[in-house]
Amino acid sequence: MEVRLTVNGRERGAEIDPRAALLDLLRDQFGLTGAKRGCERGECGACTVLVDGRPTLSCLMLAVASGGRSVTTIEGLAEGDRLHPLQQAFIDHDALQCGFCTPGQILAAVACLAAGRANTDDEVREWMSGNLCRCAAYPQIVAAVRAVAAAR
Amino acid sequence: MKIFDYRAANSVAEAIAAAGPGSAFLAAGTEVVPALRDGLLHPDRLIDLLPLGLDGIERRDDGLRLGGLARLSDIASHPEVLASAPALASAIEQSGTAAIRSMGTLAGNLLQQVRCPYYRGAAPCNRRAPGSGCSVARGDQRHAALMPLSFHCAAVHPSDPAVALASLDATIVVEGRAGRRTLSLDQLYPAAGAVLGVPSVLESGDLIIALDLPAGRLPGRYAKIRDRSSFDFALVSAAGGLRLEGGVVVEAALALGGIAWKPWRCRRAEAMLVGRPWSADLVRQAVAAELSGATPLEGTRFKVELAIRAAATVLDPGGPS
Ligand SMILES: Cc1cc2nc3c(=O)[nH]c(=O)nc-3n(C[C@H](O)[C@H](O)[C@H](O)COP(=O)(O)OP(=O)(O)OC[C@H]3O[C@@H](n4cnc5c(N)ncnc54)[C@H](O)[C@@H]3O)c2cc1C
Ligand code: FES
Ligand code: FES
Repeated sequence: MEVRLTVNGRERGAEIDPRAALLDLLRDQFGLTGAKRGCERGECGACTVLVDGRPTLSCLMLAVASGGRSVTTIEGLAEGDRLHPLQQAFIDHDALQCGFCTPGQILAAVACLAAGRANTDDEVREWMSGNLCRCAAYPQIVAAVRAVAAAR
Repeated sequence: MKIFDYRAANSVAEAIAAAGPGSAFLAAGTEVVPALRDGLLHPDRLIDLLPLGLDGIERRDDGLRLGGLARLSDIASHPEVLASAPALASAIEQSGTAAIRSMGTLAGNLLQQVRCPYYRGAAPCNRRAPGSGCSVARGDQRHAALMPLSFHCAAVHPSDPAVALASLDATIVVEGRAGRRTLSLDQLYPAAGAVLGVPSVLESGDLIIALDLPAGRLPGRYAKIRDRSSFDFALVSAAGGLRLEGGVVVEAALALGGIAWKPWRCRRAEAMLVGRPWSADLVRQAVAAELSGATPLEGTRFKVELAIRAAATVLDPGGPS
């Protein structure tokens, strides 16, 4: 099947299997490997992207259903060489170790800030509870998100 | 995963016409996609409902209408919902994670299958493989029902919003091959002893258009007891509220979750509360009476006390409103 969508501001098309998830399309056909393949059942958040601004688990969305929508992945957050404030904050606060969960964490955090849900540490923890980190960088992740919220 | 034919629906009539014995509706897919992967669902045709919209939230003369495809997070943050149905907003805020709430639709949430580990695993399960047996009898009972659907299945309905909706007297507007009809939440789910397998009584081609919240109901609260403080299904939950006049209960609504195959509206407990002076003891007695017909398993007995405590939280006139 043919699908056309916008990815990181660019119109793209692809010939896809109707069984493919958006995650498969992004990684295997568009080469955007930022979104990670973790549990593939909505339980780890490693595949989080934004679809029309909504935090979305790309492993649970069929690629065919993404037609006409606008997808933002970690590859599309920076403006040229200027990192997104959350990307910079993750570096500054040492909010990653192996980095596997980081793209998903950062996109979840973008949505958390947009929803105005970063007012306390607990609020951030609740909002981000679907983004697991096997390296347990949680305190640093919360600190990074709160720092960006405070700077706004 | 078996190959299927994908159709994006352009109208409700077209979606219903495209449905047949081998078809399934798709909303956000948070339930459907894992079920396809696990082989629990193997449709010939998948009919995508999201292009229909049906996601508005509107005030009407007689209450609030929530579109069947409204996303959970949009419902929970809507000012009208926060004002007249805080129990529902709270139930949603305590469901899943931010991404699940942002993706998941209301209809999809009500129609999700059970989360019983045996249904989603390989062990015997009458719901997944009729006749294979129910592994709960000798297995993990922590998440099983106090009041099971039947001898054959002890799984609970996992939805939090459904419990709040039950306490709010919500009705479900269904469009199907025979036209439009309205169901109560109690009617959406199978009757006790029903044949297994299906999460609801809806048939192929039945499409949930909207949910109506009647005006003038107690706004209520939602209490969820779970093993983790976030991102977990309920062990037991309660939705409801009270209105007192001079210390006497004049109105009460209560529904319990995590104890049966459907949200459990507690009519008997409500009747015991109304007309009596409120006391913590009265609430305890009323909920105990409601659950007196339960036949707990060794591993579900603790849910009686959890249900009493969850109910006491939402039926405490001094609690946060
Ligand atoms: C990791 C995880 C954690 C979760 N935690 C919770 C929780 O704590 N509490 C809770 O309540 N829920 C929880 N959920 C469930 C979640 O809320 C539902 O999966 C979601 O709301 C389903 O909506 P959907 O649009 O994705 O449905 P889909 O997956 O698209 O569809 C689900 C079912 O509904 C049918 N359907 C959908 N829309 C209609 C319609 N309009 N008319 C007729 N049939 C329709 C589909 O055919 C399918 O059978 C969790 C889910 C996941 C994956
Ligand atoms: S890979 Fe999507 S949530 Fe784990
Ligand atoms: S940094 Fe390794 S999983 Fe989070």
